[in-house]
Amino acid sequence: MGFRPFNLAKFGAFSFPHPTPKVCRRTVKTDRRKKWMVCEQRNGRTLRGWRGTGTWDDDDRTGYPRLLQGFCEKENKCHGLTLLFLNRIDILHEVAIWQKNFKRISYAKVKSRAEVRGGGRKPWRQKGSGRARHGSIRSPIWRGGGVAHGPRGPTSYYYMLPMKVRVMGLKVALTVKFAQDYLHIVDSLEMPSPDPEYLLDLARYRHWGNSVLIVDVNEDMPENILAATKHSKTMTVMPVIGLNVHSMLKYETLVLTLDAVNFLEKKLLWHDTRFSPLYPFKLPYKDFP
Amino acid sequence: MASILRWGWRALSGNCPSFTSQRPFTLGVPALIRMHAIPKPKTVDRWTEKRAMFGMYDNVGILGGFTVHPRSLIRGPVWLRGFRGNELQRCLRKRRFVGERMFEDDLHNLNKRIRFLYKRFNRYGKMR
Repeated sequence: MGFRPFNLAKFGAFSFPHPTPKVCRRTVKTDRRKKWMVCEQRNGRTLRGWRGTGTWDDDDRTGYPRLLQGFCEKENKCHGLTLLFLNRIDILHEVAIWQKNFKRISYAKVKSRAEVRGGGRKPWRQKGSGRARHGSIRSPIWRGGGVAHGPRGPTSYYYMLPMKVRVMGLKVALTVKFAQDYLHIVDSLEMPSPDPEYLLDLARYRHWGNSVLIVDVNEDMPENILAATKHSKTMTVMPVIGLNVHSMLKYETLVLTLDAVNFLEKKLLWHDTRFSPLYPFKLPYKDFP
Repeated sequence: MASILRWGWRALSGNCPSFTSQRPFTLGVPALIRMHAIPKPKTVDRWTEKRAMFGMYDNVGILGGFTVHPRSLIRGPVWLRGFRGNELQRCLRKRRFVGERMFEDDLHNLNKRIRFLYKRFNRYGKMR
């Protein structure tokens, strides 16, 4: 099937082919310990996503997603997108493993010698029969007997990482997506047609990759995009609340709406400057909604 | 007659001509694992509904205003949601949550297990 020309008017059309990226490196001096952090920006790439103009200058940071800017401007904290060297892949690993394991409940169970049916009576007398002495036919050394140290009952592997570690994991995952050019930001999710083929074509045109995770703020999204992704395995739409490290690592590309970026920025950066809780956050605080 | 015998011996010994190059008898033990071909590797679909959506809403606490805790997302036995413990702790918790509606045999076994584990942990060994 050949490439079909489609109407990109909703997306702030850009009708010329994808420009070749020009990498320009900018070094940012953070503190007196002379750690030179490299902030990589690529001119002309679709960091602005489906918005307008296609090319933008290095100096023009008005369109630069504020989440990333928030990270860049932080002085002493080494996190976020400026710090490609200090990226905490170990925290990413911790959070990913936590996600995998904390929900896990293993249902493996075997019967011990007390639970196997039978085996209450002594099979033969202690002395004089010539055979080895035994107390029950269900002891672990017998065939058909219980298991001595087997898995016992449903076991849970629940644990929680500290809140700030989980938040850091999200930040690092976003950093990693950005650094590998897999992060895209979009105005809104309105689509001209509910055709899944349209979305596939768009993804191919934008060089997004095999799998796309589209994140919006609310759950009520335009029906067209819901219809387009309904039967697709590798393209998923998700509310921001559902964002997590495992999904970000599983899907190749991450597409955020601007609202989603603002939301994330607010939520994730709050943890840098908050007080530690006197009582759980779910109880009402005066200055925190 | 002699030719039949010779044919049989040669068939069993795999038609070996001489005693020096091959063994003249057969160790006719069939292989325990019978395979006619290399088994096909199992194909795992990495994009099922469950695998594609795994991990969604795990950060519902941080991103969602702390009203919901991720431990309420865990699907499993009531006494194990958001709880981790060793076997004795799990048995005790199970008895507290669910003991009243268990079958009598199961409850009896559970009680026996608790008694045994209590003695094991608190009376024997170095850790008591």
